[in-house]
Amino acid sequence: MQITIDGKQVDLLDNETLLDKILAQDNEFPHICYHPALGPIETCDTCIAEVNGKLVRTCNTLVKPGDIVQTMTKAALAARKEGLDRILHNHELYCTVCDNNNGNCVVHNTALHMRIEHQKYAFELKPYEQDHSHPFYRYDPSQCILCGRCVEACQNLQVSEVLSIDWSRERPRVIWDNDVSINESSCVSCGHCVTVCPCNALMENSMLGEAGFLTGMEPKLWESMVDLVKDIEPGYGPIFTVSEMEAAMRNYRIQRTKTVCTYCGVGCSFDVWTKGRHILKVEPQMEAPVNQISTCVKGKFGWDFVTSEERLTQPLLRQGDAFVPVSWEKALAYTAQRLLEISNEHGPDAIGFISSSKCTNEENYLMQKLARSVVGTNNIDNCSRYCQTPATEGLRRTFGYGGDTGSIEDLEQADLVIIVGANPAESHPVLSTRIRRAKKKHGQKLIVADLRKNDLAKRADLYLHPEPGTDLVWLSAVTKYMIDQGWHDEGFLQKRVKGLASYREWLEPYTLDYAKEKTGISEEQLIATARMMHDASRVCICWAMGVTQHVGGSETSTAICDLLLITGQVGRPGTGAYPLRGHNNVQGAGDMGCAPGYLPGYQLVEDEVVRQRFEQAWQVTLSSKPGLDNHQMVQGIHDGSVKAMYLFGEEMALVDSNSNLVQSAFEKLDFFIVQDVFFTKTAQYADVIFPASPSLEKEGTFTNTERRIQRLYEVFEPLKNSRPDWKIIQDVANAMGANWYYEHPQDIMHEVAQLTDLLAGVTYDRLQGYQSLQWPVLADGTSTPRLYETTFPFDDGLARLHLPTWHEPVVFGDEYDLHLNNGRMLEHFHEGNLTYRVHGIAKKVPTTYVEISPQLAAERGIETGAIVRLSSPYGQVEVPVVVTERVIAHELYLSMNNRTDQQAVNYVTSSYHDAVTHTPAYKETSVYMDVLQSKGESPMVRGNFRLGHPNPQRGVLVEEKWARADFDPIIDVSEEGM
Amino acid sequence: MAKASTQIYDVSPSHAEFTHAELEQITDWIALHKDSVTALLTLFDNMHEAGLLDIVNALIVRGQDLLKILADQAEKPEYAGGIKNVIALVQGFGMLDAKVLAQLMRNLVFITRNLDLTNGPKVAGVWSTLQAVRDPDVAAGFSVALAIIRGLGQGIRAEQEEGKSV
Repeated sequence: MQITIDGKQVDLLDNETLLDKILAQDNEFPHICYHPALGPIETCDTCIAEVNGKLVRTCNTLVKPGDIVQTMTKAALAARKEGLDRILHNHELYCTVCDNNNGNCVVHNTALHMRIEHQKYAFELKPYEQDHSHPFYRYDPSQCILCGRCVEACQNLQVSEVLSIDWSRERPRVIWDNDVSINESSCVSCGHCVTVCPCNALMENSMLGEAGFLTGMEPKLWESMVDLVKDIEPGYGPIFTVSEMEAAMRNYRIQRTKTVCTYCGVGCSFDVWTKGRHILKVEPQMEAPVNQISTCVKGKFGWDFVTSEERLTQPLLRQGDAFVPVSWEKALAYTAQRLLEISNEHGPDAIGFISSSKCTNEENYLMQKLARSVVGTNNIDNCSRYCQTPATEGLRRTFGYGGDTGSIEDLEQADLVIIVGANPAESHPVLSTRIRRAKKKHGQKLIVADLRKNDLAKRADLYLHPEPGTDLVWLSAVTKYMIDQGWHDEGFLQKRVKGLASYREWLEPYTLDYAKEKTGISEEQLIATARMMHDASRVCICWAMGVTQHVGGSETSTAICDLLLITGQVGRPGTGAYPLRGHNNVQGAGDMGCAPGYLPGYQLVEDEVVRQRFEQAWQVTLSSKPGLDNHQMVQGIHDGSVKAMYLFGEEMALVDSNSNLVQSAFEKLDFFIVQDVFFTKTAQYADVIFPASPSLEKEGTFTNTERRIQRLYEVFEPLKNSRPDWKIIQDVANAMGANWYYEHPQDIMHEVAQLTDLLAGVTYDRLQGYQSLQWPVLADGTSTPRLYETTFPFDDGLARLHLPTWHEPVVFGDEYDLHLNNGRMLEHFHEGNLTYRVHGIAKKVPTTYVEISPQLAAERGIETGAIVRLSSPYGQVEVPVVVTERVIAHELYLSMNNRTDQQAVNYVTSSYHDAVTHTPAYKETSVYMDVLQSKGESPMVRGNFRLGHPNPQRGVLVEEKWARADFDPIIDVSEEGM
Repeated sequence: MAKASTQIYDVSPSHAEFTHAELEQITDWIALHKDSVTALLTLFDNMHEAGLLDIVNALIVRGQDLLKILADQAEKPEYAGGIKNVIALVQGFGMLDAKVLAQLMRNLVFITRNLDLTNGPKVAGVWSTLQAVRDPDVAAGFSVALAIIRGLGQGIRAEQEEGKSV
């Protein structure tokens, strides 16, 4: 559409606002409440221009072809000035002594660019105290300009629906829930509100008194300085000059470094602001490909562990029953000597290597290279064995690649999202925001199948509660019903899929009646599921550990992929299969060949041609025998075939299932190397402990759940004598006689790209800053955001309908009468080694607790705060109780974060495992419960968002502002909605 | 065969060892940047000689006290007024046309150089005043004075108009 802006003809695209177009011509054109991630809010009245002679808000004005837009008329200038004058009535400009004066304060910059010299309406304090109740951020009502960005972000982007503006007050303000303190509200601490605040009304506590040269003074003196700045305010010009100079000076000591989050597989990236070793704040950026300005509590606020006093900073050697700090030289020499001794005596297959899905691609690559090329074994695995390998198996069997078929953008575009056995709101928080937003703003439909009525289950259009471990049955019944109804995609099946006839035959037993009997899901719900799929033209299915951590995890994953093939829901925008990767680099650890049967790029170790390629590059002879996976290594230790192990970045002693069995295996090792950031439970069994650096202290790349490769940069230098893992692995290799000369992680990635077609075009240059690549990456750098648009990577280009095998869930025996579900909690990462060292998080969620239903609580005569012992055939835990309707009947939920050893859920999980991949069946655990104490203090302490009461709103409700008696419209009201 | 252990022997370096290691690092660093360190020391020496180091030290150590004094003083109306005046003056100068101001300053200099009252036109009454106006220099000065008065009047009228509209 062609329009004229200030005499110049321009084309306006469909998705562009008039404001976007004006900004493309003049990036200083004023606008305060509008944010590209949020859209028009219409509260600030600073973006006014004339369209065909009428004053309008450019952020939300629909224009017609031929419209004439004028931004510099006297009326437009005066209107914008009036808009800003009203904002400054609500905001005190004391920029030089403000911690937000860092060059990116929207109010400051707008006033500066508009050359505001005087305050037309005197600033007036609002009659409210600052709210300092929350451990991570504070709200200053008197500085709040009531633009509503925070509200819009909370209501419609994060969709936690906590913040709103109470327009009915004489002096409106932002409120949390129904007006409680921030800390007592349902605020999930995601930080969206703080990130989008255009001034200093919402600020990270870590910034206060730290960011500015003059902001760290005593509060009383600070107030006097603010008064001084106010007193000498005959015009803002000189004050802006001083504050601009001060802001420029801050750049000298404040570093802004891009990193990629390590707390889940979503792959959020953001800038970390630091002053020395102090983290001032995390600031997400619009150019971040996955999250833009979104974060969760851990990504935004969970990094204090990096500066913890408890960090390992010196290599440790076991001497008897204690550890002694030693030099790197001594630790490395001893390690090399012991590994060589064991390899010489028992063969290279007596050594196992556990790589880390929390560490970089480059580090994972080096770990498998160390195992294969230096030691000579394929005994290499990583912790995706505990979670996602069955999903990868299902994908590979049917579609060809072991990765998500599309991007998070596809999830946003889908008409229907089905979530099976996953709790994205707590385990993949930023991904869940996209689903919540699509549902609330665009009417996306949602089906959730889970044992627990989690956040998304509560919001779902259809919630299914299957009997534990029976997802394959209901998925297959829905598939059969759809075929029976003729709702399958005949064209897609004919052209792009093979195996339909045998699959239909396999499906025969999966009638609705059978499914109802096995799963407990009613016929109506099954039909409703099928009908919703039929009615939607674009469907995505997400799944996670609720599917994979079963004896039939690979089979259920396969059934999901089969369903998508039957309905033609793959290879198009808004469709596809999304196993939600749990760790930041689950995908990458697999891509890099940290699996016993695969070299980097999923190339089979048994393939001679493949091996030759690597042998030539590495100048060694490689073993053709697939190695042991994690599970088999533990068995191998117990049966005496595995004598030594080198593990980095994994808390295997608590995270692998059946912890007692795993820990007793560690006790039997002749030699055990553990490399980590902290002295973990696993490290307690080590002979050598190497102090590693966390992600903020290294460079490299991670690959997220969408197959997206992103670079992280070094925020801090490694603490004291700790080292990045890639350096340590190289040191070990060289101590064993290898001659590796990697000077930087990019040297390693260069080698990876040479050896793997999947990553052929990956270079650090192409990943500069916020740029990313999704594999397969062609040699010319072409990225693949969506797989299978034209072909599947099999010889004939067709997908396969694979026939799954149904496995009955494990039964422990009648006395184990309660089913124990387990998984993550939003605030904590995994076992909690990192997040319990973040003071604010530990304060909000100091301990784990078992969730039990009101029914079970009544049966056992207990209430929230009781202490119970849960026992399985494999061990016991003692945990406090929370009674909640999130779980039903005799189903329990215990999150895996544990403050004390006695609370770790894996003391009661078993060694049963997925038949194909050996992923433990964590979710097939039954226990009996002894009540140790029937009542007590609730473990869910004040500050836990689950105690709050959200206040859902359509948005900022700006109409309520406009309806106030004291509101005088600035724009031409008759033209509103033009 | 290793039982789980949480015991770590503290073999932290002694104070002397620690200091020695730190000093070694510093010495290495100095050797690497010999020229700039020498220049810096010379600068420090000169500043010390001039007493500047004492002033800087005092400013750093007593910085908050000094700011407090400034803030306290500013709370007094007469001082706040003074600061306001200074800023108003700076702003006023900022608004003046630099060419006109330069001309005015040149003229002022000229006036001061020629300010000999005995050589100026003699004024004894209305008639002699009118006669003096015929002097081209006086007429030129008088035109400037009238222009100033006119500008002043325009400013006053504009403010009065603005007052009406508020």
